[in-house]
Formats: sequence, structure tokens, C-alpha cells
Amino acid sequence: MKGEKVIGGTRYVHAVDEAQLTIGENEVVGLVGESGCGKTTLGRLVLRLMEPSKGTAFFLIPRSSIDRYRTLTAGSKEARTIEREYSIYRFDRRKMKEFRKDTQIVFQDPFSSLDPHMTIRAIVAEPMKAHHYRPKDEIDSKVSKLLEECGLGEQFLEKLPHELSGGQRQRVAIARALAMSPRLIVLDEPTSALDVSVQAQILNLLKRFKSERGLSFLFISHHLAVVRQMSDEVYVMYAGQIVEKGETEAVFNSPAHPYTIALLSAIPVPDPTTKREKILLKGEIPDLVRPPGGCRFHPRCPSALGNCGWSPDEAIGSLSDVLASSGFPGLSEALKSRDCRIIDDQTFEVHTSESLDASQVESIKRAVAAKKDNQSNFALRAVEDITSQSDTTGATIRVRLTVPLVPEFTGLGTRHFVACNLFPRGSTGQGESNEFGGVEPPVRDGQH
Amino acid sequence: MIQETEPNHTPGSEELLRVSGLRISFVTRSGVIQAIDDVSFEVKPGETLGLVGETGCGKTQTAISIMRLTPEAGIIEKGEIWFRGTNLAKNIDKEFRIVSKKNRKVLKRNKAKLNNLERELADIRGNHISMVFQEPMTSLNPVRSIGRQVSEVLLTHDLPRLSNRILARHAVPPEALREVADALAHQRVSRENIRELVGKYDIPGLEEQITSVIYRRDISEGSKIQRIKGLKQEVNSASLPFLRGVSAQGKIPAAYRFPARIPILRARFLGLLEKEALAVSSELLSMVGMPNISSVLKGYPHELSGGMRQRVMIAMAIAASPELIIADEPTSALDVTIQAQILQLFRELKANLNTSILFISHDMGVIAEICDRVGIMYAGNLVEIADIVDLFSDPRHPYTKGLLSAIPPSDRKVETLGLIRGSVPNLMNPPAGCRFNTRCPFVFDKCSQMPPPIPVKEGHYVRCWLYEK
Repeated sequence: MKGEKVIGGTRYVHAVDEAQLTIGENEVVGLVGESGCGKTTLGRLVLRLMEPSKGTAFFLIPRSSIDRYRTLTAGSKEARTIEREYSIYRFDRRKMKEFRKDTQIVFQDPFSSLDPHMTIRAIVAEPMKAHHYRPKDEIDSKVSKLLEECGLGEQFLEKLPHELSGGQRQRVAIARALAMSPRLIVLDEPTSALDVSVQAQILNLLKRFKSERGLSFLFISHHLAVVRQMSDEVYVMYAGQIVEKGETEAVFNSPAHPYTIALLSAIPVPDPTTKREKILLKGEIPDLVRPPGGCRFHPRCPSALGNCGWSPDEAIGSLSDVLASSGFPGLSEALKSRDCRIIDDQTFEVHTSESLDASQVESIKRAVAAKKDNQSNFALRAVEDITSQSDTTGATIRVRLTVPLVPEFTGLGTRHFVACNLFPRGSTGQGESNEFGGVEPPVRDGQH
Repeated sequence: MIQETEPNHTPGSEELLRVSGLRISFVTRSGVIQAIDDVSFEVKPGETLGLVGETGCGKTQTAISIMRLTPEAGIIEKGEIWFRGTNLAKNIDKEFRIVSKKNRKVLKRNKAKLNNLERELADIRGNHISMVFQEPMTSLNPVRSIGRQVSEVLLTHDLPRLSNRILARHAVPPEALREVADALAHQRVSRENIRELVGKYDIPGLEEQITSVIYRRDISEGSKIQRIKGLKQEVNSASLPFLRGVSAQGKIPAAYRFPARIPILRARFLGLLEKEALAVSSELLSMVGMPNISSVLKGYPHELSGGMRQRVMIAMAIAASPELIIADEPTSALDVTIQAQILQLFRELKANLNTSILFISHDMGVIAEICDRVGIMYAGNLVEIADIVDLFSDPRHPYTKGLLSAIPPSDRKVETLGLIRGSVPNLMNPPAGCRFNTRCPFVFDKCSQMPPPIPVKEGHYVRCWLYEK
């Protein structure tokens, strides 16, 4: 499966697209998540460093056009016209060149993102040369000006990257990104390779550029505290999906998604006197080749519901454990064996040679009900019905599971949205959703 | 001159490890890097000491010098590293690590001495001091199965334990196991309870096996009882003398050294111990919270995620029940939720095993969560050392203050983060005196001399002239 598929369908790329337009004027959008959750891929998609397998991203699109686009059916003539005009994946050579000027990226590792053969001067001048900056003779003075703004003096101009420390290299990378006065810079973990005191210097520098130059940033980081310091709006990603988004303060002060809550509680606090209750997530990030159904977080979720997407496999595992410890070892073994048959996404049945009467079925149900609140048995919450059928060779038990509900974005406040079944759509009534899976943030008018 | 034994060291004295006046230099083509200068600290039994500092401040070099794993270019120029009454930094006056033509003769002459030292160190490494590294992928062997790697530690350091365990299963009367199983079936058993039950039978290695079954988290109560009942295992009479010999001598007896290697006889001798090591490995992995242990044991490092690899590393580190674990940034390569799991594991190990930990990190948050005391390092100097609460509530050294203010807070938004101006000095040519004097906002004329550790209060020392009485 290709990397871009991980991101999912149209709406996720679109979500970032909307955010990008919002940040057009001086906004920093944070993208948080653990490694492998797809945040870097999303950042690359935003810059068209990768092509999505589905979906589109608009750059500098006027408010009226995006509104119009939403009402159109996909593939209609007018929709295609809008896509041709504004979708970054449809840009022609000329527009792409403009787009490349307007967007830039700063990578995580300043040790591998600078050419070791080039002097600092050449590195920073490179984008200007590539984009035929005119007048040519101003390039040199602009390079020194940029470096000075980034806190590097004249003495660095003729140095090579290996002579610089990590923080200094990251300053060079920022100066290079600023060379063509872009509108949007994707910062892909710009400080994770740096020490904390250097990180503070870089973050302060970025904040200054934001206010002085009116830049917009897509700030990608796994470091929640850093994202909180930097961003106006934050998107929380888990396993390729955005699970919560909203104004930074709203998300950090009242996180709604169980993953966000766990993520926030896991940050080590530099204060030995506070002893916080930690939510320790069990297990690890799922394999995105075969992501869990329903909400992708459900296997690790400390408050998963029955309809969060439990599969028969998960239910069989839990049921087998529960039965083993409640007096049905034979049935438990049968569940693990080939006697167990998965009929469809919600039903499975198991055949046992023991005969089962109604009272025993009742006690199975009771055991399931009693054990389903233990987190390792949350899959049993999905059990809707257990029926049994006796025959000459024994009995067959058929278990039916709840139909999973894929969570959709629900507004919790004016600008705070969560995709979680604990907050069913329409339960709070605030904010309106649209077909892109979220409430639309204000869109700035484009200037093309 | 360094003495072989510490003059004022008494066996019952409080500290487990004491580093004093350590100085390490690295000889490179472009000059000598004074990586560590005058670092002193101690680790008490059961204590977790944190070492914090930025890249290149020497925290890792300090830690690995304790195990004498300093890279070849590094020389311990000065200082003592006392661990359980042995000076691990001895022989530094005849340093053989720089091999140049001129030094070859010296090297040859010192070869015997070097071998002796290496033998002593081999006993200490892994057995008494073990280490958990930052990058678990590079520190595990990619071509050996996890089971083999974990059991290797046991086979190298803990042969008597393995044979004791086998002998215990051979010698234990079945009624003793039934008694324990009954106790387990009727009530939850505590450690003391088991000790009492097992204490009646003087069999080393039995209690450990029973407790390890009882404290397993991945199996149900029913299967625990079955496992306890199934502990009784007769050993082939031909292997018994071999096992007894291993228990008594702590190594494979000379008479068996050859037969133990013959493929047909291997199963009777060495094979028994290897099988047992694998069993202990699975207990260790369950202790560190590893899921699917049986398949992990057969698997290879690349099949595991970062967090799981780190669990394997920790299992290997605790395998030989060391007195001191050196953890060098064990969570830095992990995600924050996995980091929380690993930190929780360290806390459990601290509580259960009473091991001392030297915990190295650049993350003040992690340090605050796990350490009892913490030392701050800057450019090869230990600038402040204090109790964890004191350090965070009452930092004294300007560098410590700057470092704390530079941490982005996770609970609120601040306009600008605190700064430490400039960058770390080049250690090839460090500033004279206090090495922080090029960046310090409070610098004054006295700072051109190195300040001694100045006591602020009990156990709180700071190397800064500002606090001179």
C-alpha cells in the first residue's frame, strides 16, 4: 500500500487544505501525533511532494469558490474547473513554479537536509537562483540579511554545514526557507533533533518571523508542549486519521478524544511535586496496512464503546479468555480452534461437542456482561446477542456484534471538533458539519 | 598515585558507586578534547540518580566510563570510580588504549595487567552493572533471536542460578508444590507467604520460580496453579553431577568442559542450562510486560517495535540482577505514550528489585518523573547536584535556571521561552575557569577560576561563585 493511501480519502487532504487557507494570514497550525501516524505524509501532501491517491488540496482559493465547490458533486464540470484552477495537484508548470515559491519546508534533521558540499552562502542563495531572483547582484546582500535575521553573522557565510552545530544548521535551513518570501512553510519536526535550550532559541525565532513577516506555518511535531507554544490551531492525528482538531487552547485545556487525553497525560512534567494520574495506553500503534475497523483507536481506547468497530476476531479472543475463567474451558478451546466460524463482519459461530442448555447460555451471557468492563475485554461490549442451537453432535453458539459506527466530527465548541463515538454527531448541536468531515473554519479570500 | 583499595572504604558504607574527580580527554587529530573535567557524584543503593545535560556535555561519557567502555580515543586522565570497594578507574597511569608505534612496547609489557583488568571488568559488566542504551535497534544483535540474546546474559553471568533452578525442580517434594497451589487457589498469596511456605524446604532457586509464576500478568489464576503443580521435574541422573558441579563452582566444571561440547552429550549438559536460560528469559520478558512471549523469543529484533525492543533491552539489563543499571536515554527514541509505558516499567523495577539506576536524559520532564536526585552537566562539568524536588523548586546555577526556563511548558502558553544565549563552547579549547562563563548573564571577574562544589544545603551542591559564603 502506498504511503498516501494511509492518509485516507478526500476529506483529510481537504481538512488540511482548509486549514492552510485559514492560516494564509499569519496562522500556525499544529499537527501532532506519534511516529507513523501520517503527519509527515500529510505535510508532504500539502506541498505536493507526494501525489495523493485520492482527494485534492487547494491553494489560495477564494472563499466563494470553495463554498461553491462544496455544493458540487465530485467530477461535475464546474467542480473540475475549480480543481483545475486551484488544486495544487492540477497546477501546470507555470503555476507549480509559483506554488513552489509560495511554499517551503524545513526538515527535522539539519544534518542531512543541507548539502555538505555547499557553503552556507550557496545554500541560502540556491532557492533564489532556482527561481531566477532579479536583480541578480542583490542575491548576496539578501543572503547576509537573511542569515543575520536568523541570528547568524557574516562569519558563517563561507563555512560548510559540518562546521556548524545543530541549532546553527537549523537556522540556515530556516534562512533558506525564507529566501523566496513564501506564504506557507511546513515545519516538519524542526526542533526534535535539537537540545532544549537551542530549541527555545529556534522556537522564539519562528515566533518572531510569524509576527514580523506574517508567515503561516504548518507545524508538525510529536512534542505536544512545543505545539502548544507555537500553534493557533491544532490537529491531533492517530493512525492516519485526524481524531481531534480545534483551537490550541481549547484542545489542550479540554481534550475530548480519549487518544488526545492519553497523549496529554503522557507528557512528562518537569515538576517532581506534581503527581498526575497517568493514562497508560496499552499496546502500540496499529499496522496501517490493515488498520482496525471503525475508530482506529478502539483497540487501545480506555473508554471504547460497543460500536467503536470491534471485529469478530477481537471478540473471539476476549470471549475465549472470559469463558476459560468462568467454567467453560471446552468452549474456550473451541473458539480458538477451527470449530469457530466467522460468518460476516458482525457474526461468528462456534460449534462445541458439549451440549448446552438454556441456563448455561444464560450463564455465558452473565459472564460476558460481568467481564466486559475490564479493559482487556472491551471487545465484549460489542456483543449484542448470544443464541444457541442444540443438535445431535452438540451445540452451536452464534454471537452477533453491534454494527460499528465510524466516528464523525462533532463540534464541541465554536472551534473544537472531535471524531469519537463518545460524542455522537449532533449530540451537542454546536457547529455544523459539512461533507468534508468537519466544520469549516473561516476561509480567507485568495489573492490570485 | 592511585591506590588499589580505597583507604576509607568500609564494606558497609552507604554508597554503591562513587565517582570522584573524574577527568576524561579525547585525543583527536585536531587536538585534545577535554570532555569531562572534575566530575564527582555518588549513587546510593536503591537510588535513582539522573544526569541531565545537552548534547556533548559528557553525560554519556561519564556513564560509560563507569563500565570502562570509553572509546579508544578517550583516556581517563584522573579520578576514581569506586564500585563496591573496587576502583574501576585503576591502571590509568598505564593507559594502553592509545596504540601508536611508540606505545607498542608499553602495550606488550602491560598486556598481562590489561588481561587481568579485563577479566575483572567482565565480571562487573552485566553482572553487577548493566546498561540500557538509547537506540535499541543498534544495541541488539540483528542476526540472533531475542531468546538467544536474553539467555546469553544468563549463560555468561548466572550459570549457578540456572542449575539451581533445575536442581530445585528435581529436588522439590510434590507435596510442597501442592501446598503452594492450594494457598494460591484459596487466597491471594503475598511474597512473605511464599517465602514462609518455601522456607521449610532448603532448596535454592525454588522460591524464585514459584514467585515468578505467581507474579505473571499474562496468564490466568487457573493456569498459574497448573504451572506450579507442573514445576516438579526429574532430571536425568547422568546430568545431576554436572548440575551440582555448576552450582558449586559457579562455572562449568573442568571435567565437563569437553563432554559438554560434544553434540550428542550437549543435551544432557550444556543444553539443559540453555533450555533453562530460555525459560528464565521468558519470565524476564513477562516481567517487563512483553506480550506474546513465546513468539517474541523465537523472533528477531527487526520484528519488534521500538518500545518492545527497549523492553528486551531492559529484560537483558535486569537478567543478572545487577546492583546498578545505567540507562542512557532509554526513552528518547520512543513516542510519548510508549515512553510513559517504559517509565512506568522503570518505576516498577525500582520498587520490586531495589536496583540503583543511573538515569541519563536530556528531558527534564522524564528526569522529574523517575529520579530521586539529579546532577546537571554542562560542557563536561557537573555544575549542580541536588535532590530532585530541591533542584526544580530551588535551582541555583545560572545554567540550571536557564535550562529550566527553556523547557516549553505543556500546561500553558507563554509568549517567549527563556533563553540561554550563545552555544556550547568547543571543548577542544574550553573557557578558563567556569565553563559557563561565556554564556552566563551573571558573569564577574572571579568566574575565570573554576569554582569548587559549594554546598547550598544538605546534598545540594552548586559550582558557582555566586553562592560562595
